[in-house]
Amino acid sequence: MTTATVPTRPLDPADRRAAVAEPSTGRGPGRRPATTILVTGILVVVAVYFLVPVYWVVVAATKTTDDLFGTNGFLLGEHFALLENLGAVLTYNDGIFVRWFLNSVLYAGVGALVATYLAAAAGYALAKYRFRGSNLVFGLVLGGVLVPGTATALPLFLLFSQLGLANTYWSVLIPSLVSPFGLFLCRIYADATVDGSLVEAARIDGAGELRIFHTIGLRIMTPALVTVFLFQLVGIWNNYFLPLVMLSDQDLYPITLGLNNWNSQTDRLPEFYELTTGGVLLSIIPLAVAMIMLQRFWRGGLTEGAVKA
Amino acid sequence: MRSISRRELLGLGLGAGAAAVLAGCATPGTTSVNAQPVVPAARSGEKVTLTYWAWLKDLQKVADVWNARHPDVQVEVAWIPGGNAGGYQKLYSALAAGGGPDLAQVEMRTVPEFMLVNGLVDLTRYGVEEHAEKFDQTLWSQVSFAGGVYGIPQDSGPTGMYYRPDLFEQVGAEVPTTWAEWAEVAPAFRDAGIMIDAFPLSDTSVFTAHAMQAGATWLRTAEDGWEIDMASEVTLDVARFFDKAIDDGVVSTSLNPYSPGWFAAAADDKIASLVGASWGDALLAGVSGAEGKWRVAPAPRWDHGYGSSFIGGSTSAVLANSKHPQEAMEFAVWLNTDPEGIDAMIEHSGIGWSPARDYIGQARQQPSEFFGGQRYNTEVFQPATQEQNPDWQWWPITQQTFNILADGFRTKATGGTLVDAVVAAEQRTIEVFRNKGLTIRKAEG
Repeated sequence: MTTATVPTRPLDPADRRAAVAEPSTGRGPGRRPATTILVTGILVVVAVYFLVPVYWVVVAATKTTDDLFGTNGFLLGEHFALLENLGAVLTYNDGIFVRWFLNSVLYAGVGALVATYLAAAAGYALAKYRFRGSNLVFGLVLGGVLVPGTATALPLFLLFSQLGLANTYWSVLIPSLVSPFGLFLCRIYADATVDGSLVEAARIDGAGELRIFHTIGLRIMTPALVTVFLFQLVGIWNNYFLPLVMLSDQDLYPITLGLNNWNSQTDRLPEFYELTTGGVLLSIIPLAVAMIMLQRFWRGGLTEGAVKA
Repeated sequence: MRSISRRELLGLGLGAGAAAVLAGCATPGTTSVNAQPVVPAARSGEKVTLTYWAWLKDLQKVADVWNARHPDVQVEVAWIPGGNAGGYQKLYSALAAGGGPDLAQVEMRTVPEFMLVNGLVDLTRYGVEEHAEKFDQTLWSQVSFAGGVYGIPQDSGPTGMYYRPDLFEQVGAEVPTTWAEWAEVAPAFRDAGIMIDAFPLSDTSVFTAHAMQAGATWLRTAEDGWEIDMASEVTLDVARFFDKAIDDGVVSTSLNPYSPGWFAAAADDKIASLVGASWGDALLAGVSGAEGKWRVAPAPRWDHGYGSSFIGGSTSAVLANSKHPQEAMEFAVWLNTDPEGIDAMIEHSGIGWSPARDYIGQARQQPSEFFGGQRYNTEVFQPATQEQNPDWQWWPITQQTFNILADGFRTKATGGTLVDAVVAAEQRTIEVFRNKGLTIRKAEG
């Protein structure tokens, strides 16, 4: 959560392109080349830092166990075994990996969607309605941002055990449905972008509060919602500790837990290295797709804001 | 074993969890299941379903062998992450919630830690003694504390020496049978640009195995608490030996055995031998182009102590919240001593050395193609199990002591010594014991 920023991320390449095209932003070609080189250099270093592990995974997934340790980690090995490895990943133990994959899609997809909707509704309400205790509610939620999810996993487990919900889909899904950070972001964003007079106008036209929220609020808040959705999606997808304590039936495992099980076999059984690296490769694909597909909504939202201002 | 009163057990921290706050998930104030009435066995004809949480792969296939024979006692296996990779955390959470499986895979070295949170059933209350003679006695003593038995040994790893005859021939060295000979031949390898072995600074279980082989016993239970003798002369001698080996540059400290770098060096003919556990055989097979190049010999000996040692090892432990401890124990005994169970565990789960006294497994009696036709299991590892330190005991904070020791060992790179690290680790272990409210004193002598 500490790395979270507001949705207008100034270093997003897309933004920069947009900014360059618009001289009035002050970032035009008139800048000194030294600064450009410096900034570009830093960005290149950052990009390399983030992309090298991905590159390694891709290369490692193409190797046999022999090659994995016998050849340079950043070059292709002697045998190109990508298809064999992926085949092994998908068929091992009657295709349990596919099951884990679908579980992750379920936990992360449904969890992120519902969490985004709830965060939007609550954030909108806190921003647009004045009622007694609204600041108290907001303060409590802010407190929630400060408590890491790992710290709440154990109390949740004890609670869910009492309810008889431990080791079910619900035990991972329900805690994923709320996002204090998302609420925080949505309130700030709704405050800044959903104009009070717009809401007033809708009321005069006879729209109900729910309809105003759904047809006006949600649309204006789209950039923030995309951010919340992505954060929550990545958060749930990568969550390890909560499913670890909650689940003991491997048919319910998400990918993180399953891959870790495979990885702990490598102590004694080196063939699990291929299964693990192949599985990791497959597991980053959905996140990459989600990022690439959704990032344009960020930009779209930003221009909207610019016009209004 | 002599019997110890309940009060004394409290001092050992093995009977009461009141003082234990383990990773924030212990249940302070719980009472020991071993003070409550014995759970009667299921009536004949009653259906019992046991759950077993383990990180061995495909253990369900092994359990299915049992299930086919025992329609009334069915075993369901849940595959959980490895102990320190989250498995123990999961077990502690489940125990704290009053649930959890009937059986769980718990490493030998972690058994006392589970006892500290009242997590394990004392199996002597369910008549486990009648099965005692089916097991390797050294391993049996490692699950026996203060007159109780807290787990059924499941696998272990007797040590031997894997070596490369071609590399020994290349430098004109004989395969050492003692550590003194080992130290004599080691420089010849160094001069040829080869390492005779690696000494991992971060995985102290290897150093511990060497000390164990030399005859050290770091901790033992006494009548009034724990007695620590970690920085004994025996252990310090071993530390001095490897201090010198590292200073002389004959062992690698950067290549942990079975790490990617080690695999690469081994594939490049830069590693001449490895004193390691029997389960290393499957891992050596992962070295590129290694087929037929390696052989196995008994581990070098110290001039005192024992012929072998062991690294790793786990148990099938019956957990405190089990509703059917009797049946759980019987399954665990079958799993780990019946030839059918052992063979199935070797085939499906790839377990380490079987703890059964009379049967090492069908597959392990055959000559090995990988080791050039050598019957290394019957030649080396089976005799090795007869020559292990029978006095060794694990303690409630074994993993923490290992970590403390590793932190000390890492200073070797910046001028520290293993000897100093051992002395400091003993002191620190004593402090941690006392912070947990456990009684401990330095052994006299």
